[in-house]
Amino acid sequence: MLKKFVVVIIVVILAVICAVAAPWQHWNISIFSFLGVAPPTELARLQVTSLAGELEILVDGQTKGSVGPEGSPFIIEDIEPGQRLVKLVRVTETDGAYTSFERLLNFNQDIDTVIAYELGPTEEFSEGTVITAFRSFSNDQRTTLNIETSPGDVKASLNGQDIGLTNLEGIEIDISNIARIKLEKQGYETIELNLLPEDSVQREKLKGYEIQLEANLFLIPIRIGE
Amino acid sequence: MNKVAQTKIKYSTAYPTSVVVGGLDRFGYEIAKSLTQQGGFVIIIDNLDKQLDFAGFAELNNVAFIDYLGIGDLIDSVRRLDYIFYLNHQSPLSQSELSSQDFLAASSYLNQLLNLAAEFEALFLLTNSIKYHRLSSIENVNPGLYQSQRWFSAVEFVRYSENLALEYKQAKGIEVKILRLGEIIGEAIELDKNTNIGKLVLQGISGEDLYLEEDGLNSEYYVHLLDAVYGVIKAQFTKGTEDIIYNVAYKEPYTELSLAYKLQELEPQAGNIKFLEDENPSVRLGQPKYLPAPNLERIGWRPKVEFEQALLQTIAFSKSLIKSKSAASYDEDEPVSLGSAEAVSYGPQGMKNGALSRLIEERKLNASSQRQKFNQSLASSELKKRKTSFGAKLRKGVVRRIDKIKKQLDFLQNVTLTEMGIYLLLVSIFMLVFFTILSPVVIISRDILLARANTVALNESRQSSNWEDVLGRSALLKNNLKSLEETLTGADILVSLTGQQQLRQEMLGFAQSYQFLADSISSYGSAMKALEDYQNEVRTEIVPRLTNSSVLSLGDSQQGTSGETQDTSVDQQDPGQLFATAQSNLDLAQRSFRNYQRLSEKLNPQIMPQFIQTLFGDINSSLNTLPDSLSQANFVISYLKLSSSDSHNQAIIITDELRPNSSAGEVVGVGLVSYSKGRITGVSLAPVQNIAFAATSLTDGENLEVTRLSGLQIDRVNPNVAEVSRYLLSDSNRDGFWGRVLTSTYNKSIDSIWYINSGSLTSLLAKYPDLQINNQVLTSTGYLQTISGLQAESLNSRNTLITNTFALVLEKLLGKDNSTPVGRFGIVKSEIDNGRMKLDNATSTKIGLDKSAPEVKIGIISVDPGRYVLRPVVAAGITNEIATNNSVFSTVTADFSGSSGARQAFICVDRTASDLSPAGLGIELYRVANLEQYNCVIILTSQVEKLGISYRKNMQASEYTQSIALASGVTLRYDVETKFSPGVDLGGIESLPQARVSGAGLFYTGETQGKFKFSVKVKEKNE
Repeated sequence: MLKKFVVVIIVVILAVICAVAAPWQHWNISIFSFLGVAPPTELARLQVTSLAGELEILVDGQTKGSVGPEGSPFIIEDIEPGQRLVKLVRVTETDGAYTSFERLLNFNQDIDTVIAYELGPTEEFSEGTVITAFRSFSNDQRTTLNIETSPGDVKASLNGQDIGLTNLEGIEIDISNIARIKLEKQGYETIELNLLPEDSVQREKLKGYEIQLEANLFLIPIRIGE
Repeated sequence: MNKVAQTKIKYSTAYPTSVVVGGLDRFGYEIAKSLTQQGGFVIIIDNLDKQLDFAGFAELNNVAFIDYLGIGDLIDSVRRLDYIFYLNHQSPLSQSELSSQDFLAASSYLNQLLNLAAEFEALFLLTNSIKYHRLSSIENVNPGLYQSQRWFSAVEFVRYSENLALEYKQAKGIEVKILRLGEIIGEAIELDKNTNIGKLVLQGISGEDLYLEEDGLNSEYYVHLLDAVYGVIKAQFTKGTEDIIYNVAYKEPYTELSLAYKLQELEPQAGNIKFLEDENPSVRLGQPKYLPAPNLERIGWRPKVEFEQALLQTIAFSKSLIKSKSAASYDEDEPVSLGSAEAVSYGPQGMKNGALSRLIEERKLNASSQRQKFNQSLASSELKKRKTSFGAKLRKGVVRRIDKIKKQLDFLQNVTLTEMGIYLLLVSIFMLVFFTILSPVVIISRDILLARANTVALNESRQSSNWEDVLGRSALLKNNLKSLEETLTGADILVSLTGQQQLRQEMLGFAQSYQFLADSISSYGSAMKALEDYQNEVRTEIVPRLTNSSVLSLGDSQQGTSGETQDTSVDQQDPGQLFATAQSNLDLAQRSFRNYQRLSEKLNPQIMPQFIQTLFGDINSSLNTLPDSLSQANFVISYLKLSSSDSHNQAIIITDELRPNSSAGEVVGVGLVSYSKGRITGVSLAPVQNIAFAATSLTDGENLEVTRLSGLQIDRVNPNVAEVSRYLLSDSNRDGFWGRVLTSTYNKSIDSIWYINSGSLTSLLAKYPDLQINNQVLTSTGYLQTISGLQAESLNSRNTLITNTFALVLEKLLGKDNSTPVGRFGIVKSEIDNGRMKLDNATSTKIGLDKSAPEVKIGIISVDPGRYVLRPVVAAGITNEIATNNSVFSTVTADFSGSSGARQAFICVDRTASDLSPAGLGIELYRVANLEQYNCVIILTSQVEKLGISYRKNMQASEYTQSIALASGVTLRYDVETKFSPGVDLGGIESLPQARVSGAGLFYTGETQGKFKFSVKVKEKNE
């Protein structure tokens, strides 16, 4: 009887240890790989468009490729969801000729992260947009937009309607259309872009997501001698 | 009579090898014959001195004979052993009394063989007789019955042998079978054992009457020799039997009486049946019933010789045996061949007359000889440990474990299909519950607890500036949160069962927000590490030299002959790269923190369980310092970035807040710090009286302002720097003046100016409490009082003292120090935030300044020499009359009685104002200075304490904005009354807290420093 009791206790302790350690969380077992079938996609994608020059793309320190304006967009499909450090470096023979772009971006398996950038000699003379998405943890299925710009106080409009000066948060967007965004500020070049995909099925996936648009406006240099 | 001799055996592993102990008799012969016919090799161990009644062994091949004494060799030499037959049913040891020594020897011998079986994993079969086993259940040994020595009865050894065999089975896992044989009849009957059947057969064949004991109802089990042999072989070779102990006998016992009747039938010579009277009749009542073991028929054995046939053979064999014993004569020299051995028989010694007697005598001799052999065997041989290879041991160990497991799972054989199904179902349900409910709950709890612990540790590491630990802890925290997120995402069943969808959403949000936090702190840590690397690389030794013309200079080890720094070490890391790394990481940190804040704001912590709220509540409050840390770090990096260029010259201007003037206070000290790629390449600091004006002459604007405000004649070519700076009211004039002074003094272009007010000494001396001048410790409060008390000293002494103090402070801020860059420059940022310091790019564009010129400037223009103004307070009454023609007539009356020590005070109004006139003052008490931007009215406070000025201004689009700027350090207590002329009314108030509106107008009072501004909208009054 005592032996059985001890055995039961040992089994319970082992079960608790297994529950706490949960080694199966780290097992990478896929029935699809056993069957030799391609597993369903659980990776996220990054789209990079170079607006000028060739950009080398690094994700978490690893070079993933390079892209120029002609080959854009460059799509990287093997990015694990979560926070990843993305760095863009403009290819040049002169060290320090161009500034670099470095961001911690959030990747979701269902939604592409999109970067379109031109890297100039400094950040003020660089231009581009970064679009990422976060799953919203509110109960409603609204899709909202946050806009962050450099410089600040940029006039933003959505589908032709003025929505205020950046930085803006929590702007509800209607995913039934492509959501045209315009960012303008005196002394800087205007940025216009379509925020959402053209395919309505793709747009449906954005329900309940928070879209983050980060834009860097290009400072128009002062004309001298005019 | 035959004997056999010991054979020298060449052991091999080619044949299945069997050992038959006590097999040197007919029974053993039959077993050996059967085994050899099946291709086996048989080793018979017995007393080789035993007299044999038949010569069959000579016909057998592959049989070896070993005496008991040769057991040691067997153990040493045998390489294969598959079966052991221990024939104890006819052994003399089990049929007579044994001394304790004999018992020990016999048991030791049995022990050895059982060990051998365990060694070779051989199958062990033990035979005993049913008769003696039955006796063992009803017979008790009476110790002490036979003199002093303990004697064991025959049945005790039977019991002992079976128990020992079973113990070995239990302990060592050897396959053991125990067969209890009935009395052997047929050609192996032992007529000398005085058995019932033996006696009856002898009586019968002798023609005597058949005498039965008692009532003749004592029964016995019997088995034919060949059936017994067949049963033994079958039992040994049948594996996995349900039982271990079997009876080998005819199913039912036969009574004496039935035997007698049978004999009478089969043997014509047999006499009548007679009953012997028992002198000590046994009491049958109350005797325990003997439960026989299961019959071997259970495993398919069947006796093939009918009992009657067996009895006939017994009778025939008995007759031949008696005949041979009676006519026995031996040829002592005739060899008897036995296999490859030769044996020499010998004649019996001491044999009595009579066949039976002879048999009994032979038996006694055999028993005695066997006992002796056992005793010798015990003394001479020990079970030697065989050397087995590691592979063999491993294999044996594995097989043993598997067998053990198999035996433990034997119960499954009794489990029905339904029960198996139920067990599988229960196991499946348990696994489902475990993986879908229990495990997720435990994992979630684990991750929350770990996340909390890591967050606390992370925050502590951040606050103690342990950046290596920060990076490690943040990674751990992220792992915890990632695991939490994954577990929550996959816990659909748990969430469905508990209905806690909302809680899961909240916790997912919590997990993600804290991941951002972890990223933020991690990036912050990386940035700080880069700054620390910079610090370790480029820190410069700076030395205060308070008696020199420059009270601050580079350390001797870093000065070259030209006074410039030497490259004393090779740059291991490019400071520019370090700053870039720090800046980019700080950007990441700030973005991540914004994401954390944004997500956190959307969470509803009330939904989460109380223990989680408690766990993380205190952490959240401590994280509130992170934005300040990030902001400080941002400032530090911005500041240090200035120094990272190839060349950067930063001027230092130290002002005295206790001597306010039209700007930030009178300048007491001036200096320069030169940077190149992060290193300080030059430093200089001196009291202002030691600075010569080496620039070109004052500009017209500067001259105008100085002369008009001071009323003094200034030497434009070689002015007194301190005096000129005192009277420069406008920012542009002041900055331009100092820019030229510094450039000419240090012969370098000035890239930035660092304004430091003496008020910052409160916090600076608190941060560096060990500073001393002339062995006097400079405590923050006491020292400032000391400075304030120097009223009898000259201004120059005061300037020198303040400048020297800042030399000591700047040595800490800029020189080699163990504190971190944020620790050092963080205080600069807080002083800038508090207005006691300012960092400006030395260009026409000022960072952070309000470029719009205030309408009115009020302040103290100069201080009595040797006197200091403590906390100057100006009370101003302002009345505004708003007229219908969109113009405002304002009167500003300032009371300077609260600013003792002030020498000249002023009110300036911008030049767009018209109808300017001092209010209520005689013309001799004031003077007007018309500057480029302002018209200023100046009084001597020793003559007049109050100064008023009135003026008219036009409104812009029915809105009037009044702005008043105060000189640095001046506190303004204002009382504003705005009246509306008939026809106009108040349209709206902008940014005016605490304003009162009444029928008479708009009233607004308060106290401020710096700038004061209010706006009011006016509309036409509706009739």
